[in-house]
Amino acid sequence: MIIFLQATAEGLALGAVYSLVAIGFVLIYKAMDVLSFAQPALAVVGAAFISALAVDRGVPFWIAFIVGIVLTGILSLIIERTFLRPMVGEPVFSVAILTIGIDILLRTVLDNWIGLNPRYLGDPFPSFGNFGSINIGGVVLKYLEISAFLTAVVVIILLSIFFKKSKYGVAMRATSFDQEAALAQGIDVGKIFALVWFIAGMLASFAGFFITGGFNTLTQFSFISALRALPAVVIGGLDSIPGAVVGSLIIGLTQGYVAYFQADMESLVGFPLGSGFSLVAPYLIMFVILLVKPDGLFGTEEVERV
Amino acid sequence: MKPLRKQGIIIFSILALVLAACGGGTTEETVEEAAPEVVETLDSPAVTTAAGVKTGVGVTSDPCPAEVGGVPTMADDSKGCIYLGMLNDYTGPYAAVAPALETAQRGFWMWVNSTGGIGDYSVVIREGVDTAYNPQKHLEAYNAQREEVAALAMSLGTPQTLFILDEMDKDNMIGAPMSWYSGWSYKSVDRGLVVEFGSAYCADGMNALDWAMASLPVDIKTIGIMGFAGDYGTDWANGIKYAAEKAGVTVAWEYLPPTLEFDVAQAVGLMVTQPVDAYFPAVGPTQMAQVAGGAFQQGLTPIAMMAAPSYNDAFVAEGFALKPLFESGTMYNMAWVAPYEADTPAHATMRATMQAMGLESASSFLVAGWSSQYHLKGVLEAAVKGGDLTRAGIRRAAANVYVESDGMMLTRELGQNRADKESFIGRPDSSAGSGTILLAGNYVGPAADSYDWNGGPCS
Repeated sequence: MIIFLQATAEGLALGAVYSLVAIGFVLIYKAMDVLSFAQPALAVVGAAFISALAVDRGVPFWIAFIVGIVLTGILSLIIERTFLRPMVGEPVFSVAILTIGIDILLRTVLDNWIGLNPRYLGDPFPSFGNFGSINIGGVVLKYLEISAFLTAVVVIILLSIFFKKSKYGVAMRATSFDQEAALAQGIDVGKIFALVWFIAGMLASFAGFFITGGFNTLTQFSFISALRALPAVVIGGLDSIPGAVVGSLIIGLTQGYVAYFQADMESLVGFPLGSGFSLVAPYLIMFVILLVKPDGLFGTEEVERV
Repeated sequence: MKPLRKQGIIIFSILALVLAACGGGTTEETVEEAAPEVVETLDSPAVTTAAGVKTGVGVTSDPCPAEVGGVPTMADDSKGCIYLGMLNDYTGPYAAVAPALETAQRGFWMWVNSTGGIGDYSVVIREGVDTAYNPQKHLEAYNAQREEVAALAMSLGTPQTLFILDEMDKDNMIGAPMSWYSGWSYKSVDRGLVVEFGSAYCADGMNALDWAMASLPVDIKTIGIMGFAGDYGTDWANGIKYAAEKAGVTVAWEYLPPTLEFDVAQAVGLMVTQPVDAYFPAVGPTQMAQVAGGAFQQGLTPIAMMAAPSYNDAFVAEGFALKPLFESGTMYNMAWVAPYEADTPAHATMRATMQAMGLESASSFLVAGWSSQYHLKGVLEAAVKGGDLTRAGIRRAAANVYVESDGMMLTRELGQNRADKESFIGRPDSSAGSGTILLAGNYVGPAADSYDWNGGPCS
């Protein structure tokens, strides 16, 4: 039972981190009809800003943390203004390819800066408790993961309030429904795009911190963890924020349970599932869900008039 | 949006993502090129004494340039020049270490040139060509240099070097690898073209287990193995499994996914659900820190015997959260050669040369670069002595020659069709510039000692 709870705790924490990236995916998709592959790179860029400020420059961690997240948002905004804005009206495939290019560009620059040695972010989490963890009834909870979970919950609540109560939030929703109608109503769609990218960049940065914080370290391979949020948005539905959260939790929990119970599963099915199955399993779930619900669990169902 | 379009985006997105993550894959390319006739055989006598020296591609009677890439060559103007190629990773996952490897290699030949060169020749490495650690680009980089060099000073990566082996075979091009695959010691794999140095992961794996059992105050009954399949993990795992079988140790689990599919949660999950007395990681620094830290948080501190790529001196740097864990006496690292500070003539020469070049680092990658050139130097010396500096002559020399390294590695007989079995074992320690204190040098455990090294590669 304790191992089950442990796997659940780790799965929820993983899901929380994925959800931060996944919400960024969804925000951009809803606003621009494009899946931005630059999100994983932005996640590690955020971590790099924090590391550069806190460790290399000696800035107090919490200041570096806030500045790093804002800087990532600004970088994301600049990317939208310089690379994406000229692509308005172009086929979405072209724009998606462009975001892959941006992802590679960011990671290439970043990889040179990171180097081969792991970089740490200078956060205090590993100094709390037992190397950054607490044991509750035999279940080890990591402070960094608890923080990731709480951050994800707070971010989701704040975004919900923002979308419902604020002028720009309502404008973003209007833009996501129908860009032309939004324009006709006097909404500055360009400004909304910029705001979406700014928020998505900051969310990616939060995720980047939780992926690389503590002793996880920032390396050239850190972006892969952020990349794993992709099946989450597909499972949840590309245009649904609640879907992104639920999809992320499904992915995280699947990964967590397979990580701890693969041997039992193999005994059950009678054949080996292979190394790396914990990362394959979420994709299997994604395929099954897409077979049943092609738009994802919470995605808007499209009706094509013949 | 139309459903089909949305599904198209999803499918396209996943495919594009996989491509982006994998760096473009490794599409095979057939290069149509007539193989030059090889008149010598690999079993020809290697070393003779000839009056004149026959030369070929990559060897000139003109002197070497005074500098390459801004680095002085110390070449003798009165001597000819032997040009070496370099297939380095400037933009891939090992881009960060490329400068250290290259600097050490250029420094090595600078030292050789300043101390008399190779016969009537100085030696320089041409400007390196980027391989991005990608087999296809590795082949392109090889093609860019194949008509200009007598041999390769470095071919980085096992799969990458295997990918160009056919072309090297056609060209009689030998080269020093920057990888420690056990197959490099066997003609059945490398066709006598790869000038190996140091022990392979397989022997390191055997020695890691035997040394831990003999030297540590822990009764090791069950172990776990983790690593990257397809790169160095398989060789390492096979060595450990052999030693475990000999010692009656149970291998509780093996976790060997491809590099990009390695899941830290699963690695820690295995350690939690199937606790072991010791585990043997052959992973990268990212995974190593997370696995070790994750296990420790769960109250698990089994002995960790790390393969060389798993350890990084940043783990014992001031400020790193896990420094106390890495220095706790439960973690040890394997290597094919002693660390930077070691007391051998070769290490002293290396340190002096690096200092003369203005370097203050004690990086293990400098040691890797420097040590990789010793055996190549021995081959070139044998080829000059044999009077044949054509590629075929160099290849013939590499097929049967004793090579020295001023104490850095043991004397090795190239072409003997057996891998080295000696390993170096260290302990993470911040008091050393390299982050490692040497505990055992040229260690050979019972498994490595009894293993039939004439039987072929471990994987």
